Amino acid sequence: MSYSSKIFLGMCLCLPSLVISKNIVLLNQTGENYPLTIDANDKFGDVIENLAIYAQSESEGDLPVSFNFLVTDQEVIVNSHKSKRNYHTKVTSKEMKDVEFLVTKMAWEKNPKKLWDLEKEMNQAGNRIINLHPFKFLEAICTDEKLCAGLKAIRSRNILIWPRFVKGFVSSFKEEHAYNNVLPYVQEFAQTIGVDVNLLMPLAKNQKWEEFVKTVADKVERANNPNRYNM
Amino acid sequence: MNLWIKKIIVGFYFFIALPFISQAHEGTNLFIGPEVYYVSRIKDGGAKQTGTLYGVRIGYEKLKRYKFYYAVDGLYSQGVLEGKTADHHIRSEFTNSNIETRFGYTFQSKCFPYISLTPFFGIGYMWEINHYRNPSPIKVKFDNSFHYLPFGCLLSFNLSEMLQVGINATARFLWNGKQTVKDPDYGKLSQCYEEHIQYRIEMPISYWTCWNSHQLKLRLTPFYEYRHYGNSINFPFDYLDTKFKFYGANLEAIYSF
Repeated sequence: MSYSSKIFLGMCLCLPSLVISKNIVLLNQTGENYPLTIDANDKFGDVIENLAIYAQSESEGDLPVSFNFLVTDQEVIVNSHKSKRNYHTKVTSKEMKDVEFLVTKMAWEKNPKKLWDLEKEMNQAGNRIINLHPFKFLEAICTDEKLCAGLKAIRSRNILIWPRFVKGFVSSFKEEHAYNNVLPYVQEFAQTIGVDVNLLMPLAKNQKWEEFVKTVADKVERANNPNRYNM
Repeated sequence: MNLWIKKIIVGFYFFIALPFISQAHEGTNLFIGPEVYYVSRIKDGGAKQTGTLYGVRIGYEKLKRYKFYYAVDGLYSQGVLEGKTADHHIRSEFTNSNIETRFGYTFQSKCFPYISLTPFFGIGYMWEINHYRNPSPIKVKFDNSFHYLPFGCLLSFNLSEMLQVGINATARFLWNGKQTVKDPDYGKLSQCYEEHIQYRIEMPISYWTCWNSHQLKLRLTPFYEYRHYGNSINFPFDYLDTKFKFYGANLEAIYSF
């Protein structure tokens, strides 16, 4: 059993007893706090569900939430963090334009000076789509013929471009994994882009995100035959 | 590439040459002659073509002991390449031309065998046009034009007062290489490729003679050249790794001032 699993199990067993003797304060992301009353007989799952209800705002219905528990002598402070990336949200046309801009420039702009000049514009485009779920980002690329070729072109640019491209994915995958916002969707994602789920699932489970993106780039197939000019 | 752009590029190189040509004095040569060479072209996908190209090389050079070296020369050559892919016989008209200007400095011993060494650098422009004809499956035209920086050295020594031999080695560094494709089905496309250093080795054999009280030199230069354009993923079609090998010779009549 891993260290984190032991902590989780420990919390499951301990929280109801802590509840009996301590105040529980839920802090949301903006710092507002909600004192909670929890019955001594409540199960751990019910407590978490209650916390989630408080943490969710009505406008962002079912986004995954993660909790940090800070246990002091007097109280239990629960910090809630809500994921900003919803797997079920579709990529808008504006976001698609930003994805296309980023991928095509990273794939085919060879002039280092031009790339340097585009740095600010690329960062701005990256910030505009920062709330896109990493699977939706990859899906948008892999299901578009040109962007799919672009992904493979970026993959072949090893020295500077590929590590930078992957870095963004790794950080968003790490964040979403903390909200359990990755593993439930691996199967569907693999099906959508036509890559064997057995290749992706172990990498996702072991949180090898760089390897995960690499495998997607290598294994996703282009719709057309790219070798027309074999002559 | 448009004809007027080509004219501008050629004009630019001769514009660079003008001040040097106007200061011509002893040690300067004008040369012209035919160049014939065998070409082997191999694509990573399995296509292979070979053929012979015929062309003309013309140029000017100033090479004198312990003086700055300057040269400008151009080549225009054309021929037919034939070969096959896995399923088809292919045939194309291949045009290879370039213009190059070089700057350097000549070190030379005073006494026989007058060993001379001239390191140089320069700038050049290359046109490589491959136009596929019947029975090729696609009548596509590849136009690969690019700037390059040549670096190298000329080494020579005399075997007798009339006969000189040497070795010229040049490495070319390409930048911003792109191939334009004119595809009958997809229109005009642009393809990137991975730029690799190109090499050319020449072994000039020069023989002096006199004609009408002017010094004339005949120079036979066997050469080998290697060009490599690396695989690059493009949209909609990839650039497949392509290697060229050139084996040939040129025979130049050199008029010395």
